[in-house]
Amino acid sequence: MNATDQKPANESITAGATIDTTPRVGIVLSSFAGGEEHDGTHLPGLKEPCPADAELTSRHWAAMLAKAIELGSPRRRIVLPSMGGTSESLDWVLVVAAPRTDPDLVGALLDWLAERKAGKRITIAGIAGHPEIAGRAAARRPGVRVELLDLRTCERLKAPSPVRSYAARNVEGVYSLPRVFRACDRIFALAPLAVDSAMGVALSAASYLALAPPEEIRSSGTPDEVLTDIFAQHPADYAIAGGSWVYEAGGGRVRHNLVVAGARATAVDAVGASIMGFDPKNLDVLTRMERRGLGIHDPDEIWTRGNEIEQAALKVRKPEGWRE
Amino acid sequence: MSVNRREFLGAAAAACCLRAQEPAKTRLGLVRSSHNRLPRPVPPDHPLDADLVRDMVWKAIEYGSPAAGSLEAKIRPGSWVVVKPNIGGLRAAESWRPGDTTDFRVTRAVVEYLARKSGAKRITVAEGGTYRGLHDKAEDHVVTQNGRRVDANLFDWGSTDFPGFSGSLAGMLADFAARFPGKRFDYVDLSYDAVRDASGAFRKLPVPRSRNGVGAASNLSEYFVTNTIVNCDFLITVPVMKMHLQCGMTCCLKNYVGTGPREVYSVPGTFSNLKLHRDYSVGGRIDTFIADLAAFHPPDYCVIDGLRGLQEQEHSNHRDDQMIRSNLIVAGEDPVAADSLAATLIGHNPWDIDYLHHAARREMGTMDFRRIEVVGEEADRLRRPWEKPRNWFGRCNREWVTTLDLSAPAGAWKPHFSRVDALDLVEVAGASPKYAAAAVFRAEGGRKGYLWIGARGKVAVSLNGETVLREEAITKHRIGQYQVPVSLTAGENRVVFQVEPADGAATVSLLVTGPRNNGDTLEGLRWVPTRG
Repeated sequence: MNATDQKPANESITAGATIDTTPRVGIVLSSFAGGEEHDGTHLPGLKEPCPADAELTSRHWAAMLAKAIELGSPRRRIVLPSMGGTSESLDWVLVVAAPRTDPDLVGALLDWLAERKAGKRITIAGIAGHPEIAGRAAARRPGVRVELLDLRTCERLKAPSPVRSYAARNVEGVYSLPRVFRACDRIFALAPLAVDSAMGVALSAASYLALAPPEEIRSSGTPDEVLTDIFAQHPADYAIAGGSWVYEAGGGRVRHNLVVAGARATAVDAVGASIMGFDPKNLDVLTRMERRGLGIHDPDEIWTRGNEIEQAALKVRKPEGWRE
Repeated sequence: MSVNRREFLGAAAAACCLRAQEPAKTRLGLVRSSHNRLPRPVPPDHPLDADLVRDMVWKAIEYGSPAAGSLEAKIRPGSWVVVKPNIGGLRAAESWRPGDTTDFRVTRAVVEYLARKSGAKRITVAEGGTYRGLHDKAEDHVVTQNGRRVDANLFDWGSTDFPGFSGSLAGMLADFAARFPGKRFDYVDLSYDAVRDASGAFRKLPVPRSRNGVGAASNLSEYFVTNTIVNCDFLITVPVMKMHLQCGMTCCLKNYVGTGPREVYSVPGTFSNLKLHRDYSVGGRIDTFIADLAAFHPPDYCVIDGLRGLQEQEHSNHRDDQMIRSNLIVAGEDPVAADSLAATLIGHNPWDIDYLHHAARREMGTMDFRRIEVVGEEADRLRRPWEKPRNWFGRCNREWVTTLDLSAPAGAWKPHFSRVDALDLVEVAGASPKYAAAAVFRAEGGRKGYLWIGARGKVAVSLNGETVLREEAITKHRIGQYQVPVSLTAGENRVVFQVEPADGAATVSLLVTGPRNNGDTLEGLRWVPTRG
């Protein structure tokens, strides 16, 4: 909440049966054997918990993803905003996977969508090297069009942003984005937990950077400016960060089986950053996203469910000279 | 060609007659705080005080004189005058921030004007918002201050949110009552003022037909409305000018949603007009019931608070840059013209605001700027591009011709006026393996723009004979789903859709946006009517 929204302490309004605006984020390690809500309610764990550094099967990933989505979904909405209903079964779903996204996690998401009969057309961007994932999903869902999008060759629409843009050298927000970006109904953003030399972290929202040509990003502004501009055009309807590996500065990686999920990418990324040992409030990209109304980045205002941030935390190597 | 004197005089006389027959222009007053005829002009970023606001409001009313000559001349002595501000929420709500509700200094200036200058006998401030009345037994949306239960009338605003105004609406009305003892000043909570029958049960009323025979715009023709709105003699809408997620903007006419009695239209646990939205929206738009509610008592006069408003959406989005200070006041008797001007000022194309078309169709006013005279400021110079709601799109084409026989000449295609943005070809033409639909529009000169196409089915779209889109649209129909950059021809342009159904569905929609590609209809574009 910013300064202009401060209310006098002596006045209040009783709540109605409206949607709870506190963002929820599910945190599930492969070892999650159960936990407790803040009020003490028991949360059942995974049926087959495994150590966080174990090699997992696709069955494990499916269970972890389903659990994280269940825990990270808003109150009064079972999963996504009525995902799986009649209308949603006719959606065009775009899955935007960041580079290095765990293919098992993408596969788990496609299985999850299939189980809920969600989507009439599913386009997967960012995993062009894994056609078998789309092939398996297509075979499982006759009547649903499943396709891989090659971001190097796809049809693009170069047009001004319909929402206000802030990138210093691209105030009209003219980006050449895949045509599907405007045409799709829902976007799932997926990414591994990764350190980024420019932004500190590159998590679910950062997957959007793969949508714009690199030279356009460079000529428009800083990566976090461009990221928030593109993200604001169509914020992810659901955000997932995690996978088998956490990528550190310097090119190293650490096995850490984890899924962080929620309907607000900013909150998911704030939690992801906290797990990696960053203070989300010191990350410009998350601050910028919150200022643009794209969600909350203060972990104290986010309701985490499943594992605690401290349980999932991992010490990762940060970029050389990182200011924290 | 030579013209003799007799012919010239005849032609001149005919021209004079024609001019005499033209309807008089409707007048709108537009005043900014820097207006040089104000007693104390101040810059447009000045926070203002109550006297400055009063001077602005009164000057705008002076400029926006109705056909009767003045606002006070239009009010019959002894009248019951209702002033309807927008107080949809109170500061205690998380969604409230300055610019969300009508500035109380504007409301006070209007009431003072009426008290001083008109023959009104009773002056009522009426509103219904998302807060329970004092006697409502429900426990949600109950507002308290210092432990005391309050409503819009008793809520104490302090002295900082509206500099120069302090205290409550009740206090303001009590002050007027003391100063003008011959008049009655009161507040009505419209949420609890529904018309009832003799047994005390809520009673629906049919939407009155306009003089030109237009009835309800919604699918349902009867509404729950309030005694105050139906029975008052003179109604002044005093909205705040701001963006709106659902209908683009909220101003004079959208202000009527607050006249829907929430005691009827809310569902347990909420205190919004949920049932109104659920039951009376058409094609995903709320514009229909906005026009219908206004039809029960169209505004007799309008004063728009354009001092501060919210961009991007109607309530707080918790962003620092949402509130826009413009320090403007608009006044006039034509709500359609006033809203059209307001739309222009915040960067909308008025032709995109669907409820203005419904209201104009009822002859509630005009959205044709050739018939509007703006007095005071030059509106074009004050226009600012406020941020529009995300997913915003203007009113799509409604004028179609359709055929099942693609080889039929264009003149043989069947005209169809669509009430909603999307054209359902199966509904219009019956089941068929193939359909074609066309729309024609005029563009002012060769322009660049975008076709915003929505479709369900296997579709091929051509512009002036050139194919611009082929798509197997198997997913749900969405306005503007497929966006195609195009070059338009000066004058008439023809867009043709050829559609094969997908899963038995064949729908199309079309909007033509400008080079900004922001969901606004291209400036100056007009759809060519097909209704004959």
